Amino acid sequence: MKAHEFALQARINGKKLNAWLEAGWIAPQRNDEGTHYSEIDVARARLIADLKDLGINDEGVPVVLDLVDQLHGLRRVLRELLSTIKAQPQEPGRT
Amino acid sequence: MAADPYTVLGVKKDAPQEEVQKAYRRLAKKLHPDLNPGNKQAEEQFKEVSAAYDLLGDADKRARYDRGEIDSSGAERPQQRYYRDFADSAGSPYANDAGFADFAGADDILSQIFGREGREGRANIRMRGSDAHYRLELDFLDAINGGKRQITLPDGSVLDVTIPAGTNDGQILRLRGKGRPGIGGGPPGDALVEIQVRPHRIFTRKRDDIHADLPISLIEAVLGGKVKVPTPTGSVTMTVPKWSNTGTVLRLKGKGVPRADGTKGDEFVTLKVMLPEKPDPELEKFVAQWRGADTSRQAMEA
Repeated sequence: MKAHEFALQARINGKKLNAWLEAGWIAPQRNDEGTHYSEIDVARARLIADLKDLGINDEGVPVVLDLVDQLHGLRRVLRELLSTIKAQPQEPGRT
Repeated sequence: MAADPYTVLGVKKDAPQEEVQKAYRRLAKKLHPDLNPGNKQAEEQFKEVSAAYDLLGDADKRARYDRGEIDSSGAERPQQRYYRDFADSAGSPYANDAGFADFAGADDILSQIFGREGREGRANIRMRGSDAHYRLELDFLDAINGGKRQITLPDGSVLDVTIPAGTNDGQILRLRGKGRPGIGGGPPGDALVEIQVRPHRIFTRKRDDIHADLPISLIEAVLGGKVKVPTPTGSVTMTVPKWSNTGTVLRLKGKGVPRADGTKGDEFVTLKVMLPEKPDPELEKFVAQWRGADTSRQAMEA
């Protein structure tokens, strides 16, 4: 989606959007045709808005985002690890 | 209608605006789904809390709610997709491995899972290859006597299969290490070959024993004699005792299926007395003169 639709869905104004882009809190996909926002960017923007509602200031937001992203990285690895363990065949029986 | 927003936030009706915000922040920090990625209940509770705060966090809206102009259901939020719904899927642009990158140096299974080819590469996992399943149809006698077979695989390679003597229908032969190759240096899987045995014209198999019907002539049945009998390993000569009726079962010891311990099952031959193929006037004349004493059918009559 384009910037204006993104701002609408994320319920933020253009000024905030620019500030967040500049800070690197939101990193939409960029190519020759311009900037494309996806659902994960909307959800991330909602999270940032919620964090600010919680009283987390501009210094704190990137710290929280970074930790949340690390947590998701760990969750993903943990899920892969568990599915790998599950996929291990049972010790084959003798025929 | 949603729950009373004051109860949800746990504040008094006359609480000052700052206290409402404080209560919201305290609850939201605990319940925000993105701060609790693995907790499914957090989402429902957070929804209630934030709906309550939508209403009470705004002094204007709160006043209208207090006057009864709007009710708490007006503050219900539409379904929201949280960041956690996207963030740990493969290919997330915000993916961050700083939480475990240091494990990658460790020389153990974790390092192989964590070892990544580039940022979005798949995890590199060392695991045993999967088993490959094949089917092999055998002639009845080949299954009993054993032997070697080859299976041509889809990729053109050939798999040698040794059929142990006495192999039975439905049995699965396991060829260790002949399955799919391992991943990341893991050992290959096994090839599992399911055996199907075609039926035989004469023989049937019951466990380790062979059963067969043997037609004999009227003369052999009445007077007895030596007859040739087929067995899985070739014909043998068997003595039919005098006066052998249809249904008589004779046992050929050790002519059955080889067992794993070196012994063998038996072959059971069921005799079937056959009249000559073509009518024989001489036999008819003889039987007409012969008065049979009884018939076995008598027992069946009411």
